[in-house]
Amino acid sequence: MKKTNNINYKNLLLLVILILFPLLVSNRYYLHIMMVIGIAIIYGIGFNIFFGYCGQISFGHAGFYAIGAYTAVLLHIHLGINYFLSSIVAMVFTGIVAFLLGYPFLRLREHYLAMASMAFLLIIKAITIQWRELTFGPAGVIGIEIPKIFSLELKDNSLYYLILMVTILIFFVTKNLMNSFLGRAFIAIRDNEDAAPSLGINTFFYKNIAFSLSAICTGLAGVLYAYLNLYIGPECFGLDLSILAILIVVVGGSGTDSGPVIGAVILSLLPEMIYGFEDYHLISYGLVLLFFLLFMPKGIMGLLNNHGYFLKGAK
Amino acid sequence: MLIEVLFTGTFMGCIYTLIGLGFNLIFNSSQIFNFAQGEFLMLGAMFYVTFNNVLHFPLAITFLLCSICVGIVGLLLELGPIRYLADKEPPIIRLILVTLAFGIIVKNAAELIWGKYPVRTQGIATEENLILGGHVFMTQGFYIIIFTIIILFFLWFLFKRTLSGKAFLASAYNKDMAYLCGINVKSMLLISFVASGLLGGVAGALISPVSHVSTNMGALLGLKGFMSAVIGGMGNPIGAILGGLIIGFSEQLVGTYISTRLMEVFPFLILIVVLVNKPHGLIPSNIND
Repeated sequence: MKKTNNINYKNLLLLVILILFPLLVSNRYYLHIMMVIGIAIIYGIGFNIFFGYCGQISFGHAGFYAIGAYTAVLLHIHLGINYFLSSIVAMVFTGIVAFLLGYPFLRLREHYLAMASMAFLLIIKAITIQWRELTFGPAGVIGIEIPKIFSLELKDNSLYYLILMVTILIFFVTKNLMNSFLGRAFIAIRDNEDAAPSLGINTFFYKNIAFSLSAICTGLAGVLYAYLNLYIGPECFGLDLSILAILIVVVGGSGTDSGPVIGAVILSLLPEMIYGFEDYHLISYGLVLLFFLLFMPKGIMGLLNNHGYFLKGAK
Repeated sequence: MLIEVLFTGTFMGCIYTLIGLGFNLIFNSSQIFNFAQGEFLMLGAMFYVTFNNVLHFPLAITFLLCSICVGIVGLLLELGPIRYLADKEPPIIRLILVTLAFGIIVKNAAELIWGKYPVRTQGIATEENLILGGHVFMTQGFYIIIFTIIILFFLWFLFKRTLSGKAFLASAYNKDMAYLCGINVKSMLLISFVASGLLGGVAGALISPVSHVSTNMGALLGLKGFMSAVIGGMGNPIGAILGGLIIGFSEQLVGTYISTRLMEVFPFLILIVVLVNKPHGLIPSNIND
């Protein structure tokens, strides 16, 4: 097998630019966009594990995003646990929720899975709106205090470096995991769910692992979202957010390492580019998704190489 | 009190049934869950508001135009993306996402045309409520129930008593065999999309006086119609009726007697319980197996 960890000068240059970015660019707005992109990348990578590699559909990932964000923030507010610990707990909790949900949900396929996961999202949404004592109801949690990790305030540059670090970590961990036995088991399930057991793959178990891993990444993205915006509310985590995950993966290239990265960059910049036309924001999502599904099912990575054939079909 | 609650449950159940039937029609002909069905309903309601409040058309023409306009949207969905993908044999996930994307476009286009703010409109009858023996009933509810029964009868007649209806069922059972028998399977797909557009238009026009009409209404109502089809058994019209009534009744009963907080969540809990225990619904369809 080809050794992949040769020093690649292009990637090294990119890394240096990313590290120096806050020093080169003084405009806080661009820094904010970079952080939004980073969170979108983590979210996309998480969704890609379940959708792109394992070939399962979910409309409920915004629910995990909400669980991650709310758990981290509410543990701090209600129980006074410090942010570092509460974030870890939030990720683990999201993973556990997904693992338990997987037992009923992953017996379903395709339409039915899409349907059940959408119902899950709406239940989470109803909880965030209705359980006022816990979640502060429809107004959301306003004025979250700036998180600290070991007396270091996480804002601007320090938050940027945290997100950068976590994004790179998640990227490489996922990339290696997907090239391991685990990733190949996911791909086997995606390509033929009925034939996978004949290769000794416990489909139900591996689907559940994919679901939980994907939920942990999504929960992490939710935690970082709460840090960045210092506000969370029920309207932040709607069906639009679930669709965003699908878009990121489909546009970038499903079932590829770098697909979600490319997709996240494009889709985070898209609303900024059509700034001032907010009314056209969501319709452009629909048009972009339809365009890619019809004409470029392999996504942008499909242009670069022959990956991401998953959505392509038989002919 | 109980009688009013059951009445409301019945007519809401009828609306869910109509949406569920729209899902069934498309599912039977193509195995696609049309995620744009809720937006069809929303469009029907929007057209109703326009024709009724703004243009003051007579009621019969309003209903006709509503269903035709939404039928045309269904036609566009089939003629455009679905037909383009048909010979590529794409995985089913791609088709699901295509209908979802189409729904997003329709919803946001409607938002650009009609605006975001909810509007109210008037129903078929001039009086809003009818008092019978001390109970207050919403007049529109009676019309919804009557219309649903007429539509159900019409569909029954179409599928059981006419040749084209039987051709449709035949192509749902076995596409290749139907093709060999000289049935134009492709046109059946087109018909199913148009028909579910027509159904969505009528259902939207019927429900618009009962609820606030806004571009956001499609998602939730569509989802509940969808759930009624899934709970009853996808592809089975009797299942859609059963599922619709289960959701309509349970929602109203829970909302009235237990807690309004639980009202919105309860149908989803039913759905998850049913899907997990009987993944093919309460009355599984013998089509598509």
